[in-house]
Amino acid sequence: MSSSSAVAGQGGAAWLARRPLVKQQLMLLLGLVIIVGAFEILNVGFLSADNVSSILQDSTETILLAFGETLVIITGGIDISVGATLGLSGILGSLVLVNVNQGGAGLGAFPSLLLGVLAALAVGFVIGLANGLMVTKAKVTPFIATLAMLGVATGLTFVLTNGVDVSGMSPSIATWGNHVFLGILTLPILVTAILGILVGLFLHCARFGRWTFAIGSNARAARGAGIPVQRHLLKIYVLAGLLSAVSGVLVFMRLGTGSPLEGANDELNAIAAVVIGGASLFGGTGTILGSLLGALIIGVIVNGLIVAGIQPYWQTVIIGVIIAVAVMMQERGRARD
Amino acid sequence: MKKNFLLSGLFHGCLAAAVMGFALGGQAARAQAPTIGFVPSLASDPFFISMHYGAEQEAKKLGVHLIWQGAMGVYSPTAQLPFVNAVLNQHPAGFVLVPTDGNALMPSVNRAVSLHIPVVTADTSVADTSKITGAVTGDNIGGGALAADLLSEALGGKGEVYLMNGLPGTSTDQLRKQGFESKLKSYPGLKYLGFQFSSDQPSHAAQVVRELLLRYPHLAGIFCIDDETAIGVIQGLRNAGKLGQVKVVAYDAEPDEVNALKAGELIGLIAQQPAMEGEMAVKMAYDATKGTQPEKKFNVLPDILIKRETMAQQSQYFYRGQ
Repeated sequence: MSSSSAVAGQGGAAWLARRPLVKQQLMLLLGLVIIVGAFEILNVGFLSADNVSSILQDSTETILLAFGETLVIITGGIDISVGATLGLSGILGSLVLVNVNQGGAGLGAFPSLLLGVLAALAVGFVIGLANGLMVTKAKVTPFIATLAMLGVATGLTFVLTNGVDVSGMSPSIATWGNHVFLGILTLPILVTAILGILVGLFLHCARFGRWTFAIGSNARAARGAGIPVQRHLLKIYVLAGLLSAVSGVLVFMRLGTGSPLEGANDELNAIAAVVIGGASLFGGTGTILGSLLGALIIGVIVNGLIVAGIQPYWQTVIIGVIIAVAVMMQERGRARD
Repeated sequence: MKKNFLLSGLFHGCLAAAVMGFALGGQAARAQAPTIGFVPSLASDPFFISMHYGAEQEAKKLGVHLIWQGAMGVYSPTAQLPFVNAVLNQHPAGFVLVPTDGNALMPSVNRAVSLHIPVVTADTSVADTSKITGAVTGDNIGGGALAADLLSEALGGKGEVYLMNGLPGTSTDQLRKQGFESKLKSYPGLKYLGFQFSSDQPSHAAQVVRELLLRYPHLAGIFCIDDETAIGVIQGLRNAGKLGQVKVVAYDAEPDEVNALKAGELIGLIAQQPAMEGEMAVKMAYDATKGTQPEKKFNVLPDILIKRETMAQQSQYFYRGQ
């Protein structure tokens, strides 16, 4: 708490120090606006409330994973198990939900959902903790540690389900997951927005964030400055696990069923969003807003190309080019600043 | 500073130009005719390319505009949802869906119905079929049984057989396996050794086959549940020097598989009729926009057994490459 007021007290100085970052994000925003504008000019209805809502709703999965990934990448690590964590936590959450609800014969839909959410969060916590312990205590590099976890979590998802859906969920769940209010909002969009604000505040306005950046810039110096590096890293991986679990819950709420196929390859989209958003895989830089914009750019392009009637094969080509160009520009910017 | 500014201008300019170019290209193709939206579970696969071909032919015949959009590479409900949503947001007159998952796509079907867009499913269907206007599927159980029949015939009713499964969790694969296993029971001379997953990766399938041959040196027949698996199994047998000795039946009739059948590396194919499925689905969706109910709500197309000897006469069942 005291730390956030300290940052606020610096006022203009902090703003100046962050100018390159602000500029970078303005450029991203400009990029997003141009893409949206171009699609809107050529496709009447691209910016309809329906379609904007769809874009946001369909992007929530990547956005939430990207938030957790941003934290990990800023520390100089990487978490490639976020998609698998989403899958396993979603499956365990829906198993608990369906089994306590028993097709309406057991607990009500809402208390069942709460228990399902708790189960999913527990999975996210355990996976995050295991990742963190492998990285900090066993000194396994983050890529390998989370690669191992990717395999374990994906396998367990299939062990638990035999590859078959967890069906029999109360219809209310899908209603809650998809109901549109105030024109464009849905529960997943709202949850994602709130978590984005919270994580953003933690990262950019609190001691938690300063330590995160310090570790990513120079872990040895951070240790020398008295930052409990190991414990902090542990927290970061746990947080990434929890955010993936929330994403898992939102996915089964959107689908109204637990699908064992969910989460596969999602880590790639999350990492792409973070990288487009300006984070460096070497650690030390990255913002929540940037990652959000990165994920939205991907979501808008996917949706826009469909609405424009472009062959789907072009999507990954275009997104690949955008990643490459965005990163090249950022590297230039960094070299200059 | 200036250089960076230039680069940024260049980037944003190119971005805008690219997007406009693509969007224009798409726009030009659009006609004023009524629209049918069609979202396959995957766009990148000869099975769906054939379905697209059939759907496009039928759309031309009926004078409707077909929007064909689907995910590529990733097979999962949330990979499919952006396509379903974006197509529905264009308010097509009718909608054809190949669901990646019969439960998970239910909210999308409900959404279409609430927008007064009639829904037809192709290849697989959804959990609550009361919401849809019509459905056309292949007969995966019957196809699995055909594979058992052919293996029994080729092996003279005697020998050890194995199932190379694809990706865990695929509903059509489960039905094929079910049909295969239950038909095997009527051939007491065939000994069923079990199954393994290839993860739909040829290299993995090839590896599994080599290990299988070490464990079961008398293995006589293999049923491959899909094309990727079949290609890998053939490679594995070739490496082990057992190609031709072990009889292989494979699902689908993709170009690679047809070549393998021609070369005698496979003894038969179980072909589905994707182009026909696409045609029928578009027709049903079109009729529904005119308020006409389909003659039959649930249409099951038989799978076709293609044997090496008769393949020349069955080329209409081969899937299309592009």
